[in-house]
Amino acid sequence: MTDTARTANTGWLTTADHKRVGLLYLLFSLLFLLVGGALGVALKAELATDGVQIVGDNFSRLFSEHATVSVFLFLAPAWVGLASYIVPLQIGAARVAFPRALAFSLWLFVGGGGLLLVSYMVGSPGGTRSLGLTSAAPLVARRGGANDATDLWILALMLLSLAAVIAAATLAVTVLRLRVPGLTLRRAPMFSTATLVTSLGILLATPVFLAGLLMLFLDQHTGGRLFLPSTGGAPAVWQHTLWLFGRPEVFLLSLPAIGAACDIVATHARRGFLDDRPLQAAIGLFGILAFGAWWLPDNAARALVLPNPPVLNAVLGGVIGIVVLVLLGTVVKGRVKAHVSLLFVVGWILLLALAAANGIIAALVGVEGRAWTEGFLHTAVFGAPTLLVAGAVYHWAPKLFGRHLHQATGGAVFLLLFGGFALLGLGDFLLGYNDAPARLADYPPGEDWGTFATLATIGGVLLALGAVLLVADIVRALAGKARAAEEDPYEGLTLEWAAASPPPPHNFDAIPEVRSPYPVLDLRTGAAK
Amino acid sequence: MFSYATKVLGALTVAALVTAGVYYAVEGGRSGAVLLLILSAAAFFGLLTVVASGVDIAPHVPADAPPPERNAHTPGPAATGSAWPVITAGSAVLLAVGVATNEVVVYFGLAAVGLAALGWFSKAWADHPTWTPRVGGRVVDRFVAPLTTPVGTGLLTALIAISLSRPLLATDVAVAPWISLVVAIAILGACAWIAVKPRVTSSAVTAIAVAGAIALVGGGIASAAQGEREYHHKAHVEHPVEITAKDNAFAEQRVEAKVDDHGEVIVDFHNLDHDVFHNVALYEGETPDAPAVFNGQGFPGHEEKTYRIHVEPGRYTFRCDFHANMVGTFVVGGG
Amino acid sequence: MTTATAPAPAALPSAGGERPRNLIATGVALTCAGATMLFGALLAAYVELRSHTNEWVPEDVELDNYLGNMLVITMLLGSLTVAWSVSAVKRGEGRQAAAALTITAGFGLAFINLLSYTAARVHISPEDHAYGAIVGALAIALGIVVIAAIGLALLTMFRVRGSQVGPDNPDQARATAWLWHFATVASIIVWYAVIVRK
Repeated sequence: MTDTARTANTGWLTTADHKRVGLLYLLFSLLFLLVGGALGVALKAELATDGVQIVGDNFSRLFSEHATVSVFLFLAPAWVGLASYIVPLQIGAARVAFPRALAFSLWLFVGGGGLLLVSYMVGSPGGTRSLGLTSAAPLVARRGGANDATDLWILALMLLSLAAVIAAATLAVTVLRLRVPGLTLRRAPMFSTATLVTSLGILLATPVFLAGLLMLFLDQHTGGRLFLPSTGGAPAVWQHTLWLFGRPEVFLLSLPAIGAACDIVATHARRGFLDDRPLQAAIGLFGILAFGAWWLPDNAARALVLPNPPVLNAVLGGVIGIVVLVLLGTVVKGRVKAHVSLLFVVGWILLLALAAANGIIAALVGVEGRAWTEGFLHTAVFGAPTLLVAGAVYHWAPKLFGRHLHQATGGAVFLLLFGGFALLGLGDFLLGYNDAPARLADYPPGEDWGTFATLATIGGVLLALGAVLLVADIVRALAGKARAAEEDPYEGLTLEWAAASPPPPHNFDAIPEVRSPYPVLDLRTGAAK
Repeated sequence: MFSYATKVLGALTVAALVTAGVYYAVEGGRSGAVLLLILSAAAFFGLLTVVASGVDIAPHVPADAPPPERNAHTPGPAATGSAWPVITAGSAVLLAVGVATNEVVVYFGLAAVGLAALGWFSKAWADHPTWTPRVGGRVVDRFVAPLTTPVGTGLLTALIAISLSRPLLATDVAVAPWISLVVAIAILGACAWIAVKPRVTSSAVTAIAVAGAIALVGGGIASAAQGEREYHHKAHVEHPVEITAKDNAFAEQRVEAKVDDHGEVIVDFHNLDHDVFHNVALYEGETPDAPAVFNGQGFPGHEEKTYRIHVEPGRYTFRCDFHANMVGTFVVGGG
Repeated sequence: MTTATAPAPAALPSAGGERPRNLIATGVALTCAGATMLFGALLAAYVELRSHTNEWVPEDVELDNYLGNMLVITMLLGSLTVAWSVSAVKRGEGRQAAAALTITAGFGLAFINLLSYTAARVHISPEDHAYGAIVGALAIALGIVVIAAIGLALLTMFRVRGSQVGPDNPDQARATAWLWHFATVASIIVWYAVIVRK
């Protein structure tokens, strides 16, 4: 092993190599996905059957755990991991801006995630009736009393938030300062651009959450001074805090997905975008609108994540619609070589379309059942980006693992994940149209919601299978059993395809000169001339 | 010109400002408006940062330039690994657990985080390109050695003393000396082995040192958890001094006693002379005008009384106030 | 791990030898922008809680203008000395810069000391009323930021003495200044909200 290799890769615990750190982020996030997903299946199965069998007394605890783990311990870190790995390769850098800080954030994430799970095992954070972050009312200030589980929960989330801020700062400075000469921000690949905007958004939104957690901690230990009106507090404080964190966070989870979708499509269409300016504008606009929807009605008993006010919904739909149009145009004008990652992009669009269609229906018909919200969450907010996480893994597998992931398995993963999210979402939407409420452990007998809940449960089971299959495929590649990949298997456009598969610790042995957004394409066509 | 990042942050600044105004006008909620205003300020601050961090212009390429090629250079060196990030993260988790549960753990956590940060800084220092052995030596001479040598030695001594004393205090009185003997022989044996062997690898010495440290500290922690053995202060066990008056004479010429924790001496006085009055009295000297320290009340025999006499360590005379020939020396030692 | 004294090796020599500039300063400044939002959320909470009652400052809390002013003045002095240190670093005067940074750290320690004294003296008790809780939260946040600034100042001071931060590499000194100025501005805003406007 060369000296270079030894200095960077002295073990997984001590690595500062952004590629290893990114891979660890991704792997740990998938592990947490299995945990969160299993909880979700249990919760839905509980609803599908009469009587409380599985969940027992622990409904609110498990509900909170499912939501918190899925978002904070899977989706956000998965994007951080992918970005940590791919972005420096896309911008022609040898490392991230603060390699050891990124490693620090990784271990904070792992430790904080473990602590979060422990807090759920120790007790019920916020008391037995609290729903954690998903409730608009502050965590149990109404039930009174701090307990160890709540304190651990708050501190675990503080650690996770700190990890997010450090990772975001690292990635933002990497994109801003470490681009190879010639690669202006205007020419940067879409995934890197999206990572930059997402990171800036995280930097602005997460500290609000930290402030909220600090206030929550104090509130818990002073008997509700901050949030309980009866003791001089105000619930609006918590609501504002949660809103300004929750709203951007939800969008910021989808923003890297847009970037990844763009890069996947362009690479496999083997041509540059029809026009990249609308795409960049869309990414920027999406990031800015993430801080929108700042209307907090006085009668808000709203949950953390709700469908936006219809105007904002329409604007966002329009933004994504523009992205889809440009991508479609690129595909039509390009010479597409089929790859399973394109399937995932299609699935992403379809899930968003499903959510949009239901959004229109809900606006026209008027929905009473709050279960509708869960449908929106499971399709647009969580499902679509998750599909694209899988798609990105399949697309960038040559760089991530040095091997191609099995295409047929990828197809199966896609069917399972897409089918799972679609069924889950449909079930929830139908429940909503039939006036079913949300957040119940079990439906009262006599209501006809069992079938829809069963539909959703089947979706959940499909999802779980898809996740397991994905993890198995990745493990197979890591173990070296998959087909080895060459440096540029897709005839790619951007700089990551100029590095070896997988790249050495210093990323590039010889880096192309950059004169356009598609340096590897230029290299290939220039050499052909 | 404005780079992409500048445009995005600028748009956010303006949007947040406008939304703050509209929100305040429509809803009248002050806190929401404050939040949006500060969002605008933060976005503006980010914008300034991006602008100040450098210009974003591509080098000019003439139209007739040859097609792009690969440059045989790397964009820079790879990052070097270190154990400090994971150690610091573990310390942060420890600190978090402490804040949530137990105050003692908080102190451990703070100490761990501090030490980890120090270690991280030292590693970064040593990794810097300008670090040379000469610079490093100077830093060690000026900063590290003057601080770490006394502090480190003190801490090490304290650690050894405290770790070793715990098992000695936890075990039985009879066992403790054997434990210290065993430890002494082990240390002597290990050092002798190292001295005698013609060549000892550094890893062997390290292994021995680490094993010894683990045994020492581990034993210390385990013993401290078990707690100290029960032991009584000598003062609690009463050792009274006996003075006997028989046949108009004291049976003892010289009596030695020790003061207990309260500074008292306990005297059991037996009067064995039937119907004869005796007493015991303490004087500071042998001469008749020596000041009296204690005068017990006289009583006829067969009787015994116990006195608790508050007295300083020293040499005294005890006599019977009724019979001038009954004299003795009373030596009082410290507790 | 090799313990060679050579700098971290590269497979091939890097092009142009241009080391990326302004990394740490940019990172610290962006994090400060984020920290602005942390204070923003706490201040918004302060404003919200205040709007719910007419008697905002409880009776047993005696706000002391002098202590509040001294807190701000201490931070301002620290801003001055840290700016001095940046200009000294740029001019290549290491000893001056190190002295300035040490003095800055000293001001920071004085601030922390005064902050804890003020909190004790003014009887701000989070258990008793919302005022105490939110002002306590603001004080904690401010304290953490200033402690971070002190740490960074000391770190930079050591680096300056070791010639790792100099006129060709003033990045870390600038980062220290950014953080310190942010802490000063934050303390001014908190002072204004709590002491001046009550």
